[in-house]
Order: sequence, then C-alpha cells, then structure tokens
Amino acid sequence: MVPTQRVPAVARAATILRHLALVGHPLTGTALASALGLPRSSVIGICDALAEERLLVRLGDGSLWLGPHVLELASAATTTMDRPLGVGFLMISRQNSFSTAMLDAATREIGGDEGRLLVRDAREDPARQHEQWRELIEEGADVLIVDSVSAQAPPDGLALARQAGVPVVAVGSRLDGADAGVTSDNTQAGLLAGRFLADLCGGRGRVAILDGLNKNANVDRVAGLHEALREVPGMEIVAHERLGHDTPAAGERGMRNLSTDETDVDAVFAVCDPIALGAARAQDELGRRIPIVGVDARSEVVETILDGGPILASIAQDPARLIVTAIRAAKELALGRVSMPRALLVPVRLIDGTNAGEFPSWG
Amino acid sequence: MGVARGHEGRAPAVRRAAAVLNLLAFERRATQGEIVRSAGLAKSSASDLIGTLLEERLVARSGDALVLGTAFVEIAAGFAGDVTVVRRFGPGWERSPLLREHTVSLQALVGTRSVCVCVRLGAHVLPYTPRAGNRLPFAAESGWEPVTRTVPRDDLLRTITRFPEHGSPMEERERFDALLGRSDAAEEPAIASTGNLEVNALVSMGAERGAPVVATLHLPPSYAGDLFALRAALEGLAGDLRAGDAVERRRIAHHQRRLAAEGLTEHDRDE
Repeated sequence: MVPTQRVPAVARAATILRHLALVGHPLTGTALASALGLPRSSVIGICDALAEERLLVRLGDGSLWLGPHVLELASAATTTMDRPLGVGFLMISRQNSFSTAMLDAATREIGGDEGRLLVRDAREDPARQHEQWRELIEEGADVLIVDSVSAQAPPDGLALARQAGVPVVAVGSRLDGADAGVTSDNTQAGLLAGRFLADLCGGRGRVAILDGLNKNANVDRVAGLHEALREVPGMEIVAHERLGHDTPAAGERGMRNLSTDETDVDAVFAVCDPIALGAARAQDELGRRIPIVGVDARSEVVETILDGGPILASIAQDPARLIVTAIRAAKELALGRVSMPRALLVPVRLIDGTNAGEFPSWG
Repeated sequence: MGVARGHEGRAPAVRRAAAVLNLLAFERRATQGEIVRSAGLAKSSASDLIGTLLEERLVARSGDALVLGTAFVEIAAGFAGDVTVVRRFGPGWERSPLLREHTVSLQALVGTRSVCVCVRLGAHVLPYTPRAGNRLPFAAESGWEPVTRTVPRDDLLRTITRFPEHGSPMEERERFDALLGRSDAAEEPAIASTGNLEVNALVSMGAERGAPVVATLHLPPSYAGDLFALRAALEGLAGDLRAGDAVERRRIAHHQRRLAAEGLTEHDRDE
C-alpha cells in the first residue's frame, strides 16, 4: 500500500471548523490565523472555499461562523446507521485470562467493522477504574463496556456517562443504573455448583465458600449456591471467606485461612477459577485434598479436572460470547434503539470429568 | 456531484474534500473507487485526500466502504455550545414514548435566526417539516416567534450582538429594541409563522459559548392530544440535555491538551 501524505489545506479546514465550534463565537480570518498559528493568506483562502460550500458563513461584521451545511452533514453522519463507533472497554485486569479472552474477542469484533476500541486496565483497583470511566468519556468513546471491579459503579461514573450521552453496558457483572447488562447466568452457575457438590457429598457435607471481588457476579454465584444447598438438608455452609480479589493468591490465602481455623470442610466452592487454582496450590502445599468447584472453565482448570483434581468441576462461561453480545447491545443503544432487554443472561454449563475432554476451553 | 477542474478557485483541495463529503452525505456509503469516479478526483491525489479526511475523522471506514465521520457532530455542537446536547438529543427523543411519536428539533437562536441543529421526525404530517441546517427569522415586525418564548430577553440580545446580521447594525438594534419593549410574546402552544403548532423548552442560554438552544415540539395546528403530558415530556428532555456542561468543560480541556501535545502544524506541508 502506498503511504498517504497529509493534505494541509484540508487538515487546516478541519482545524478552523473545530476551533470555531470550540470557542463558540464568530472570529475574523485574522483572529483565526492568529489563534491557530497559520498564515493569514492560507486561512482566508480556505475560509472563502468553506463559505462557498456553506460550511462557514460571513456575518454582518465580516467575522466567520459555522454554516448550515455543517448541520446537514452532521445530520447525515448520524443517520448513517452502521457508522463505526468508538467502543470504550474498561477491563478488570490483563493478568486475568477471562479479561484477556474478552479483550481478544472485542478486538476481533471491533476490527471487523473498522471501529475504534479504547481499552483501560484497572488492575483490580476500583479507584483506578473510576478514573478510567472519565478518561474514556473524554477520549470520545461512543459507548462504554464495563467489566466492573466492584459491585457499585463509581459514584459519578454513570452520571458522567449519562451527561455525555454515552450508553453504559456492564459485562460479566451487572451494575445498578447501567443501560444494559450482559452477564453469564451467575445464579445458575451457583446452582449448578451447589447441586454438583451435594451429589459429590452424597447429600451430607460441609462446604466452604472462597469469595473474591465484591461484585454482583460473585454475589449471584454465592446466592445460587445457597439456594441449591438449602434444598439438601444435609448440606451446610461452614465458612465464607471474603478475599477481595479474584486471583490465585487470594485462593491460596483463603485455603490457608480455612486450614489455620481448623475448619472441618468436605468441599470448597470458589467463585472463580483463579481462586480455585490458588486453593488447589495451597492444598498441595498443606498436604490436603478437598474437592473444589470453580467458575469459568478456563483451560488450566479443565486440565486439572482431566487430571483428577482437586478441582473436580467448573461452571463454564464464554467470555467471547459475553463481550460480543455486550458490544452489539452497546451499538444498538448508541443508535438510540432502547427497546432491547436491559439484562441479557448468557447460559452456563457444568464441566466435570464426564465432559471436560470435549470442552473447547479458553484462557 | 464532482468538482469541475479549473473552476475550483482558491484552496482547491478544500473544494475536492467538500465534494467527497457531499457525495457521502447523499450516498451514505461509498468505496474509494466509487468516490474517485463520482467526485471527479484525480486518482493520483485521491488517496492523500481521503487519508487526510480519515485522519481528521471527517470520514470513517465501514467495512470496505467510507461513511461520514463523527467529527461533524462535534463541529455542529458549536451551535449549542456543548457536544453532549447534540449527542444526547436523538437517544433522549427515542427514550420518550410520548415524544417519539412527534417531530422534535433542537433550535439554536443564532443572531436573528432560529437554526435547526438536529431533528427527529415523528408520525404526524406538519405544515412545515424542520430539517437540520434550516434557518428561519425568529423576530418580525409582527412579533416574536414562539421559539423565543422561553429564552430570557438578555440572552436574545446577546445572540443578536454576538452573531451580527448583514445590514445596518443600528437599524437592526433599533428594530429589536422596539420588539423587546413589547409584551406580545406568544403564549404556548402557539402557531408559528411556519404553520406548525409549537411547544418549546429552554435547553441552554448560550451564555459563554454558542447560542441559546431550545427544544421545539412541532405539532399539526389542529392537534387535540394531551398537550400537558407532551410539555412535561419535552421539559424532561430539555432537562436531560441541560446537564452536560461540566463534562463539556473536561472535553475541551482534553482537546486543548491534545492539540498542544501534537503540535497543530507539525505535519503540515505547503501545497
């Protein structure tokens, strides 16, 4: 491909139009040239051409202002329904393969239609993610897709997006007040995990929960587990470790806490696979072997399941399907089509030793 | 659609760029080859021209075709003093089950004219259908148009001064002084000189930048529906649009930082 060269007159014309829009009042050709650091003769020539095209008008005192054709072109631009959008994606952490699987799928989806993907990595820090809401809106994202670090949206994040006319789609975990949410059916994930554990324990057992980030997805998974175990009188939840992070380190810490407390546990439910992997690692070091069920079904966990444990099952999510669904929902919202459902649940399924071999894992 | 070569006057590249933009406004989307043919561009310079338009976001790629870019929405926001007002207008109209049955426009009162910034068309047939870019006088000897009713008189005076019309400034000013002394501003809903029945809600006074902006609901003159509910919905829309000033300030700061960082004329070269 032959590299293109910038056409200065066209770039300067765009700069002149933008500058007038920014200052919000008419300027003379001389004032424009001075403000933009451009030669006056060049600015006057370009302004004449823009005025002939009705992109500028000359006012009674000779100053220049935006012409009506700007509005006609803006109207045409907004009615081009499939125009590419700037999609802002706030991800939890590049260290988390669930997040990176979503990022890979988002890159493919956005790249297909020549849109822009603006990405920020919160590195599991709510304050950093809060600041990133603002950054992406200021950078001109048309829509925001948020994989939230916390259960609550930043206090002014949603208001900021609403003020800017930027629809917000929560992905992975729902956020109160977002325009839409695309999540796995997390309650179903907890239910499937609970039923699996009840079967595993023969209807009588003591379960510990290793919980992670304080976000809606984890809350729903734990709620689903409670609901499943309530139906089996012999099953009991004896510990609920709130670890604050969805990481292997948190899982290790949780498992060690259970050991230190000498909690008598027959099975462990980890709200996500990184925590499950950390718990399994800690068990190796502690010389224990307690069955673990995670959520995600990422490849490392599927290998562990095939090897016989201690992770015996995981509830499969599909990060690519989640983010693609979120991007498509966000585009609909950006075009003003608000009749779509506000909560989109992607079904999940249990992966254990019986079907792990055929499961197309990710991460 | 193309630009006849030899009749391009000064800044011929700007005229050629305008031809490309007009083509895309008409066709909605076109491949580079179609643009070269239809806009009468020389193949040798077309890539540079389209590359610059892409860089400036005046056009954008959509698959293997080009479409108009988002920059025009940002530039059009100069009328309203706030890009968020323009961006939120369409989705706000769509969200309101009451309003989306009807034609609603954003009108900027620029100088002595009401300029239609953007519009969403409803189901009812009107005597006058507003269109983005249309400019109508908002004051005449017979009195003020309904669109001015919600705008404070000081703000009307400011826009008349900020955007001076052609003709004698003194005559213009005297005419408006005389009109401002009247108390015949139309009560709403009122029939505008276009023949439409109008309800209006103030969105912005245009104090610092741009012009006063009004959300206007256009109805058939014989409309007999629930005007009270429609007015409430229009006020709700105007209130939502009004809330964006703080964000706009941050956007401007960001834009200025970016300009400073890039260096405005860094890549420019003489033609």
